[in-house]
This record gives sequence, C-alpha cells and structure tokens, in this order.
Amino acid sequence: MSNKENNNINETTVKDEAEASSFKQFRGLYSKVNISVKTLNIIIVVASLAIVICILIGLKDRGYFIEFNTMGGSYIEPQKLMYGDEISVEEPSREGYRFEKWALDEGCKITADLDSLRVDGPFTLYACWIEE
Amino acid sequence: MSEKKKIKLNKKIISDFLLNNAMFIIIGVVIVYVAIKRPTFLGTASIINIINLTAAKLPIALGVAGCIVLAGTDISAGRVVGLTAVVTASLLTNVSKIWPSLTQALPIPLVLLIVLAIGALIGFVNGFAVAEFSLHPYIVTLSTQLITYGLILIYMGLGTNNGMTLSGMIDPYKALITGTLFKVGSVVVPRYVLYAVIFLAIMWVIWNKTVFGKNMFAVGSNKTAAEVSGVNVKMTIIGVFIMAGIMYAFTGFIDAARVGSATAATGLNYEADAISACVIGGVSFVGGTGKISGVIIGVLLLQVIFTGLNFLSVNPNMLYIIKGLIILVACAIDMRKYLTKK
Repeated sequence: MSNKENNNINETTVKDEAEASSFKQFRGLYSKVNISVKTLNIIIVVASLAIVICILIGLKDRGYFIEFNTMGGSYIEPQKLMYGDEISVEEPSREGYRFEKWALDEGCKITADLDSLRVDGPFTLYACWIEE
Repeated sequence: MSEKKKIKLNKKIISDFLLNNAMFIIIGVVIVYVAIKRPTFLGTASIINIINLTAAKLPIALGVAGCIVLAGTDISAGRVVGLTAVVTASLLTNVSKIWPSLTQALPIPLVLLIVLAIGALIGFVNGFAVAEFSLHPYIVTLSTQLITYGLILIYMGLGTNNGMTLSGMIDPYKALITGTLFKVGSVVVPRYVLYAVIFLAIMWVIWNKTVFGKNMFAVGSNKTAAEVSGVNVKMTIIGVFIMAGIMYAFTGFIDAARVGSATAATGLNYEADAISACVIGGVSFVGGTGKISGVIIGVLLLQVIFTGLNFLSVNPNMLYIIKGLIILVACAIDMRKYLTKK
C-alpha cells in the first residue's frame, strides 16, 4: 500500500473515532448524560489541577487539633500537632475529684497512654475522675 | 504518513495516555512527594499500616462493586456498616448498657449470624425495591441510608446507654479480629487481613466462576437482552444487593474490634470511599464491567494517597474536598474511556 493510501486510512480512522465517540450513547448510570470527549478532557484537567491546589492549600494549614474534654474540670487549650507527634498536657483539676487518667472515650473504657500515643489525626481526649 | 500527521498522532496517543491515567499520575506524584518529605512513609510500619487499612476497607468495596456492575449504586453501605458495628459492640461486651439484662456477652458466632442477617435483610430491601418496582438504586439506597441511620440512633439510645460510645468488648472477640496473624519485624499484621483475603477469593469465584456472577454482568450490560436469554433478572438484582449487605455486615463486625469502639458516626462516608475505589479500579457506572483485581487496586491506591496526606498532616477538612474531586476525576475518566473505546 502506498504512503498516500496509508495517510488517508489514518486520517479516516482518527475522524471515524471522533465521530463515533460523539454519537456513542452512554448506558447504565450515565444513560442521561450528554457530554463530549472534549468537555470530559477539560473536566479531567481542571479537576486534577484542583486536587493538586487543594493539597498545596492543605499543606499550608497543616496540623491536627487535639482537644481536651476535662468533663467538668479546668479548661485546657486544644493543641495543634503534626502526624507522629507525642502529646504532652498538664493534669486538669476539678473540685472534689482526683484526676485518674486520660481516655479516648467519654466512658473512660479506652485508656489513652500518653507515653505511647502518637498523633495520627484529630481526636479528643477525655479526663477521667475519681470522687474524693 | 507525513511528519505533521505523525506528530499529531503521537500527540493524540500521549494526551490519551495522560488523560486516561490522570488519577494514577496524581497518586504517583503524591507518593513521590511524601516519600521525599517523610522517608518513613516507605518504611515497613507504614506499608503494613496501608495494607491493614486496605484490608479493612476491602469487604465494603467488594459489596458496592457488585451494585455498580449492575449499573447501580448503593449509598446505604456506610450506615449498614455502622448499624452492624453498633449491634456487634453492644452484644459482645460483658457490661451492656443497651441490654442491661445481658450479664455476659453472647457467643461470637451467634452475634456474627445476627449482624449478617441484618446486613442481608437491608440488602434484600434494597434489591427488592430496585428489582420489583424498577426504582432507581440511588433513590432506594438513599432512603435506606436515612432509615438505617435512624435505627442506629434509636438503638444507641436503648437501655441506659443514651447514645454514648460503645466500647469494652470482650477479649476473645478482639483477639479474633485484631490478634496477630504474623509479624514483619516488629510490626504486627492483624487477623482481619486474612479474612479480607478470604472474602476476596470468595468474591472472585462468585464473579468469575458461577452462573450467578455471569448473570450479574449480563444484567449490568443489557437487562433486556439478559431477560431474553433466560436470566432471572429480578433474582439476580436481589441476590447482588443481599451479597452486598452481607459484605457490609462483615465490615461492621470487623470495624467494631479494629477501632475498639462504635458510635452513631461509625461507617460515616464509607460508601463514598468504596465507590471511588471501585471507579478508580475500573468498575464502570456504565454497567457490566469490572474486575476484582480492579477493586483491590482502587482501594489500595486510595489508602496510599490518604495515608500519604495523613503523613503530611494536611488539613483534615481539605480531605473532603480532595475526595470529592477524586470521584469527579474518576467518573470523568470512566466516561471518557467508554466514549473513546472502539
């Protein structure tokens, strides 16, 4: 086959593909969707850039807030820490009660061992008290 | 072919490659960036952590994948996980505030059967409504999502619990789920990784080696043609949703031990992650298309990217926006691949 005939076939193939894709009907959950490949290309590029921008913005405001719910005791300011950081906090005080431990739940069933606990996301520590 | 046309064709090939693999490229760039900033990201502990998280999220993704193959979806998945986790936590404790008359935990196999029955029942309701009344799966599962959430809130308020977090589960149950399967150095691989592999194998056999699996793909591709070919379309749809409900129940049963507690928020937005993972892995909303290997890849890649962002302490509020954009990109790529396929 000559080069000219090859070129014609390739051109036709590219054109056919473009026409075929513009007429191809979606099915399933996309059955009511009417969108072109060109528009999808734009959406993919813009949304991908948006993901990268969001990651960069998220990096500017890094850190996880660790909140301290003293369950009626003295107020402790939340701390902003990074992934893997240790938690260091003073013991709260509460009249008529003795501070027992920090826990990861309000019922004080899941003890939070601050020596081994490391930050892996935002969470709240709850103070556990023993009545005096 | 002339030089100009060669260049044009090459440009088209390159742009097609970049656009169809945009998701993988973004994930690759994030992995490289995180690895440079935090070299421990590629350490043994981190990789094992990613595998563990993937294993935890795999069963729900396998369940949702079946619904997507049927050209549907299931947005009640997360709440079913939450309900089954809460029921598990309330029955596998020696001091149950929800059932004060229960002085000791029920047998573990019995609780597992109970939660599987709950998951299967919700799956049956979804499947029946879709199959019998031809309601759109989005509408049906939106309603069951809200109903299930209401049930969770009511259940958590029973007895003397008053909506508090459920914890303090019995040690044999925790050991069954989070006990050591094996160690890599000093890093523990928990038992639920093995259970995830077993679910994977079972689903692979169902999808690829059973008549039910073939019927599922046939119904997803073309319901009318499947019916004409003798496939019982209604039973297939109901069966797929029941199977999905059972997988969500397994996820909830595992999650209660894995997290160590259960609240009304357990399972929140799990379905978004599962659906994203399926679409990234090639399970198309077009219907009739999907592979188990694709589901694994999708779940793994999502866990990699979010663990990486976690390592960088990216503002957690931004993660919701990023997840939404990932779903958008994944669906756009899915549609593009369908339109440009010969």
